[in-house]
Amino acid sequence: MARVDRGSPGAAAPRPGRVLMTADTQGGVWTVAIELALALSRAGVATVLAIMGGPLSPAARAAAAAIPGLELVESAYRLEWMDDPWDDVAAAGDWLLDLEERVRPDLVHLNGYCHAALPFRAPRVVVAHACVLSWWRAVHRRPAPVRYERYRARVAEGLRAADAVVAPSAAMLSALAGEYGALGLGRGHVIPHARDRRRFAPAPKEPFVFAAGRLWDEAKNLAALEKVAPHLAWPVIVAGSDVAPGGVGRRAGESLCSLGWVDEPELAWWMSRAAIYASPARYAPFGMATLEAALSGCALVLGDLPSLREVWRDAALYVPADDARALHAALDHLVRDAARREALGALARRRAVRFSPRAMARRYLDVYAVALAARPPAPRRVCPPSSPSPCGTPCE
Amino acid sequence: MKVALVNPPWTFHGSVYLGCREPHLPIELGYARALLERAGHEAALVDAQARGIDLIALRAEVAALRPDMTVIATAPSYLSWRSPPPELRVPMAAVAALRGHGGLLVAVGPHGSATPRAALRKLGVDVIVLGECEEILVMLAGATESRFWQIPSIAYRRNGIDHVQGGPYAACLRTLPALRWDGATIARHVHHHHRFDAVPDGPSAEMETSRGSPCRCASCARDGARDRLRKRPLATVLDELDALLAEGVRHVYFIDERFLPDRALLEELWARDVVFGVQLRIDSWSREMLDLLGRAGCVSIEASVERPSIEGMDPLTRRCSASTEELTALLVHARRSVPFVQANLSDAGSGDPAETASWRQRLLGLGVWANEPVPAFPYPGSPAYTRRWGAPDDGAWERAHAHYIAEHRTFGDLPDSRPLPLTELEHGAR
Repeated sequence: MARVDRGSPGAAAPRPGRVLMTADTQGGVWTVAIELALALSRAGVATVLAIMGGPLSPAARAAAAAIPGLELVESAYRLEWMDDPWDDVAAAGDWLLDLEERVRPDLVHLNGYCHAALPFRAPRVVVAHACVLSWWRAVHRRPAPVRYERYRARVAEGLRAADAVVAPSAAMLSALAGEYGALGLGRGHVIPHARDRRRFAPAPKEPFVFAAGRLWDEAKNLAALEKVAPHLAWPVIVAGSDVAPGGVGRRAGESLCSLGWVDEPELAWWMSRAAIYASPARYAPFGMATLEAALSGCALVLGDLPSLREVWRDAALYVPADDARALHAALDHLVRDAARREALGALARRRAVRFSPRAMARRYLDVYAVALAARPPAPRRVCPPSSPSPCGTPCE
Repeated sequence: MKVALVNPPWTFHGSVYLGCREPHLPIELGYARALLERAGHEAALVDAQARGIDLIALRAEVAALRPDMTVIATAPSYLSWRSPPPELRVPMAAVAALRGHGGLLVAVGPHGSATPRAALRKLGVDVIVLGECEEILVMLAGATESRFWQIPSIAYRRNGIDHVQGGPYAACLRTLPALRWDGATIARHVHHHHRFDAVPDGPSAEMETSRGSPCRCASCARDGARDRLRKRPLATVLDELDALLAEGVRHVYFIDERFLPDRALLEELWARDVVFGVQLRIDSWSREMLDLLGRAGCVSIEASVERPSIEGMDPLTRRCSASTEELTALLVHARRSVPFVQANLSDAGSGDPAETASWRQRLLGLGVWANEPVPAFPYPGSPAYTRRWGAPDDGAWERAHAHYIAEHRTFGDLPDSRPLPLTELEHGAR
């Protein structure tokens, strides 16, 4: 049941009592979803979290279980950006509609695009964490090949159907408009991702450069770090999975010290001690790992992207992703200049604390209010569709 | 020049001091440190109260610094300058301990501001600063004694003559920097001032967004800077706030005498992961702004309310510009979005006690905490003092204190039910 909002800065507005939120187990979507669900819970909004893309780790499941009022519903449907996903996307759509029928949310929050076109009775908010087309353009410097036409059409359809579209940076919102057409006046909103500052905090710094991210993702550009690492006075330590969802992966070069995938407490431990965090990314709509590093007080060396400049402003050094010499110069400068390094680390943490889950939840409540005002929940469907067995393993 | 800035180890036994006895950030000394360092001096802040060190340890620490000038606060912090402990027992003892080890001894605080000659005599310091001290301390640090005559708002004794130059100083808040506190200082600060809604979940800090208040509250000791309302730039406030959050602060108390309705500040607070408490005049706030205050994260309001008057505004003192009904409605409205709202009733010696008691009971029934009216100390320099005895002289504190404990045999919410006379409190402190 929608209620009156007591969490936004403006006048009182309607807010949902229960949100059906999709999430996946890949990348930063899970992290954002869990931070948001916790903050919404503190604001009195319950979340039903519908997981796709594979099983959750025990630690992730425990984190979800600790959130009051959160209901976790798991499946293993392939995600829309994975190879040959469409049968799974269709089955997941039926599963989500059934779920909506059962939990009766006031609002559907989709951390993906295609399912926004489903006939949900509740208003739907789409969050654009990233997209294949803008990823391809940033990484390969040309439009995505024709085999992604179906993806383009389905994403565009989802964006058109959404009552509100949220992106973590204005740069990402702009990229969406470039790839799929203008969103329309007042439908696009920027809400930066957030992280609880108590999960990541600085410790006495040690002389190493840290990087984190999926090694197989070309957007992370860890190849640039491999090139410069042998010429740095400090070791470069990298945390992140080296196996892509399809099973194909990319191993870190020998010049990097690879930790493989690490869980959140271990990641926080490494980041707390790292003096420098490097992410010479080619594509980063926000950069969740960068936020975690900034909260940990690392001096940031980042790819020179509009999105990262928008988020970090003067609290980082920026290098062109393809310029290994510039990356080396920036890292070497910070390795040698302790005062600059410490000042930049302190600046990064001061900037990072602004991206708080509480603020994120409040902004989402504002957008939810806009969506609720634009389209109150429709009456229940008379004949719910049949629910074919999903190819994954739903827990509930 | 090397400067030591000292917050002494406060004790309050036998005192009529009404304020909070927990340590708070000595922000006036923090500003002074920043300005002194900006001017090229070396400055060290020794917060004996927060660190729980005694006078012997304080003397050893200051002596090890070998300062050319030592600054001693005569009240715990700006938070307490409005209603300081009347006695100078602790600063007198601190001065006695530091004499011969601290170079030029300078006292800053409300006593010297109201009664500079008496404070000079009692403390035995070399210089007293009248009013807000930050910028004056920078002038003192750069001057020889022969140039003291050029410095405004100080009192000092030279060749057996007391020199009092100008009145209380009002600092330029636009030039005061964003304060930086180290991690250990913040980690130590576990007290959440005036917070009752929840168990503290991390450290707290005090900040200010403005100084001054055009209101003439009868009990306020800072009457000299009454009419000048000065605000810190929003960017500076946010810079300081973000640095505090980066150090792990979860709660902030804005020590402003009168926290002002400021939409831009409240929207910035709303966007941050912090809760806060304020002291304000409820009649300066609209219902809409009170709603915004609650949404921004305010968990505690202390609304100073003097005994309500049926007639509303007092034309002489301009106290209580809203009627009792309107004040009640605003307090109750604030309580809708702020978990703890206190109507801080003080007895300024006017009005009908039965009417106040009735109003208090009504507020309690409406969810607004209202303490039993606490007798207001007639601070030298306050309207309550001036109305009774005129301008304060060298015996002002003793006179006000003697009157206070003689008049108020029952002390309501006072922390010590048997306060000691001022002379007894200060006897032997030097």
